[in-house]
Amino acid sequence: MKDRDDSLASSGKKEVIVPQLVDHLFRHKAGQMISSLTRYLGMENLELVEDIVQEALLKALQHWPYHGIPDNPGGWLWHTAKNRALDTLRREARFQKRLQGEIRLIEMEQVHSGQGRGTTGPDKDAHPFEDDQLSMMFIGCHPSLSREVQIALVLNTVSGFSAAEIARAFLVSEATLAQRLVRAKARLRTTNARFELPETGSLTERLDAVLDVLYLLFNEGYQAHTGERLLREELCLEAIHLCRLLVNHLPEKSPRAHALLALLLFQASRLKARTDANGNLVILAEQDRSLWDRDMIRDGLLHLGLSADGNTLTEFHMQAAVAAKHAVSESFERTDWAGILSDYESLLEIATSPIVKLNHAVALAMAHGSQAGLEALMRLKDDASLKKYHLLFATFGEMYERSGKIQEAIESYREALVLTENEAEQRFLQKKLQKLLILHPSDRTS
Amino acid sequence: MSQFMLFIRNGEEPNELSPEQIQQAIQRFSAWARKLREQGKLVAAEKLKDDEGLLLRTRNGQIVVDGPFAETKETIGGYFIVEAGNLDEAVALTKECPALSNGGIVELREIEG
Repeated sequence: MKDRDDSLASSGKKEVIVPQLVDHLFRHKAGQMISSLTRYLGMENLELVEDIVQEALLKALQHWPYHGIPDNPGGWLWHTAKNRALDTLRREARFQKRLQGEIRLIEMEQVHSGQGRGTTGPDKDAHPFEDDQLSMMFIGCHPSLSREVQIALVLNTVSGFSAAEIARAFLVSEATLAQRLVRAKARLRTTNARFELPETGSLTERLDAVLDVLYLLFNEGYQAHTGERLLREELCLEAIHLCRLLVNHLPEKSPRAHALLALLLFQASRLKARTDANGNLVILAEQDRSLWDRDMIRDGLLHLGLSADGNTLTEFHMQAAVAAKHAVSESFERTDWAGILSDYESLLEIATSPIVKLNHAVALAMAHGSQAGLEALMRLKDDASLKKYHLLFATFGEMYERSGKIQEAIESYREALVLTENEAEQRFLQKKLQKLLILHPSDRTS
Repeated sequence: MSQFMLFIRNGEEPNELSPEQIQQAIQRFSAWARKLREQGKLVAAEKLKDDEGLLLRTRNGQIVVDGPFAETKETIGGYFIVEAGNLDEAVALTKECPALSNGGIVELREIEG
């Protein structure tokens, strides 16, 4: 749409400069406004706040088509929502004489006075929102809620995704998700969750939960499901956005947060390269590295550096270290496999999950040949948690193929194919199988 | 050149729209209005207040006032006045009005000059 507008503007018979909306402005603004208004109206009024914000957004839809987009769209929205909230508070103060409400009302008018009148160029009212979003993120990750619900709640209240959009991204029904959100909000009300950052003592603990939520949120978007690719990419970018918010506004330094941000940036830098035009998976070895986002990689390296501050070494640190080695390597062949192998060895010391072991085996194969990799894989074969894990068998296939054991490779790929429901991965495995079957037609009958 | 008036009747209340969808709807509308403006075809555009509509008429020699009307989806949300060479051209540019894709109705009337 932008392109068309630009071409019209340049050929313009009558030049009119109309402000354009930044991508996702409404979504981001919705999250900011919900967080900030909740600070003033209290967690118990979260649903009222959501209604007020939705009303402000709809008001824009009713007005802007006729009057044009205002110079400061974000300010216009905030001004509209704030006034509506003030009306509500005034009514509350008058009818219920609630001192609390009046105090909040005065506070709110002071803090945000003169902001967002909609006439003064760029959106200058960005700052006060961010601390509020941070508080909202911590509330969303309240220990009384399950991880799954925490992710949905953060997306809904801090990031401005609707229940329908979250449902689509998580492949659950909209009704189910909406219900989960309602229940979660009710629980927060009954547990009297306070709208503030936790005390220093419990901050670290809660921060760990927030970081885990962001990590899972990113992975949700990064897994290569078919369809809704744009929505999934948005989840990845949103996880980065929120992680950046954390890193920039936390009252104390968090090396783990920097490590996570670095990891997410390295992974996201490959978003454009990891699927082809038909939505097929492109594996790391075959990716066009010129499509990798250099700015993200640079930024990732910066945060990897910042993550080294202090003496904590977390899973995120080691994963980021691995991701960094891939990100800076000019080709798959020239990857620093020895370095990656040693990172995985360190990772195994702090996290012995089967998935880490699997990745360790792959690194071993890359550094010391597929025989070493196969031996490590064999040791994983009986691990109960990997029995149904398609990537174990896909990796077996890959290793067998590399060591020329075609029959075993075919069997492993077939096993992997049965275990994955992901269409992109199925297509990928089928392609692998076909290639082997063409080379070795005698195996076709087996 | 003739002038035409486009009365926009909004569709169903779009309460279920997500922030992202609301932004997209605004962008579609803005692109349409901007195109008209840049082609010099847009004469005026105004939004009408939502629930202030009254009907005045004489009954038994008395002027009576009816309303306001609650059915927002049937009321006119706003209007555009556009210039077009003839009715066909006016119909063509009205067909591109995004209100139509949101379940709205657009009434097109030529202004007698």
